[in-house]
Amino acid sequence: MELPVADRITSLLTTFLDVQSRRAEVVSSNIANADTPGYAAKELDFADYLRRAAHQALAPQGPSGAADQPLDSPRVIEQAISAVGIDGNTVDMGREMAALADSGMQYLAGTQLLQLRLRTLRAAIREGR
Amino acid sequence: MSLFTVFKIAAQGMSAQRERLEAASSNLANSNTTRTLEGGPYRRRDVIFEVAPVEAPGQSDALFGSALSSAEQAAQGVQATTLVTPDQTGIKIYRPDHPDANKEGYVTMPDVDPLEETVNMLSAARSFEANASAFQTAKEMVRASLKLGEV
Repeated sequence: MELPVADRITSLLTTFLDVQSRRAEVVSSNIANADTPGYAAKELDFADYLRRAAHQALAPQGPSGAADQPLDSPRVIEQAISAVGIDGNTVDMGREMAALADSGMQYLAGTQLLQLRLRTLRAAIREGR
Repeated sequence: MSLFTVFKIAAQGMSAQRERLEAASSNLANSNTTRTLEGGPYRRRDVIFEVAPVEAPGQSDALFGSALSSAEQAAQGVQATTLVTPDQTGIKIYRPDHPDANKEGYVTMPDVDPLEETVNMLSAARSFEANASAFQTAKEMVRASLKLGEV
């Protein structure tokens, strides 16, 4: 099914917000476990997610095509180890705080864009008044 | 809704750090205590951290519990447990005039290192701040999504 352009942008922004909030969840889990012995820091596998999305976009269109199925959420993987503490913990606090601020800002940007999109739709509905 | 999971995880992190701070301050306050209810000198408290599920077992909704994606289950909370040192050697100090001194004039003091406890305390306070920061970010995100209603 061919979606109208307006709906495609809205669903794209919704997916973006979903991914960013999932990222915040993984980061907060890392921060909470920064003192847990043996805990391995985790992150979302964005490269794998992009690969699957690209694969889906190139799949044949049609009523039974793969492009109609919604893409599931990105997978959670263990971070590539940068430094291990003496207790076996691999959480890098600086990196996690930066990721937390980043996902928060990206999320705010996403909501701003979505709001603009909804404003445009409302303007069209009210004939520009 | 995954943003509310962030609240739960950050709250678990904060309460775990608070427990650690409690143990450190209890150790510092009792570093010279020679009498306790169970007898003998005060025994040091240690807090251990372990990974815990975000939802307590049985607490999650039976209807939607199975529908949770693997990513949602991958986010883990934390749990702290306070342990009392089972048998400590203690530090023996020669003070014959002390009421709790033994026949040779030695008093057994708790095995508490003030320096170690102070470092523990500072570390717990910093980690608490980090968790509060995660909470704050999640709050801003929820507020932004609520604002979507006022187009």
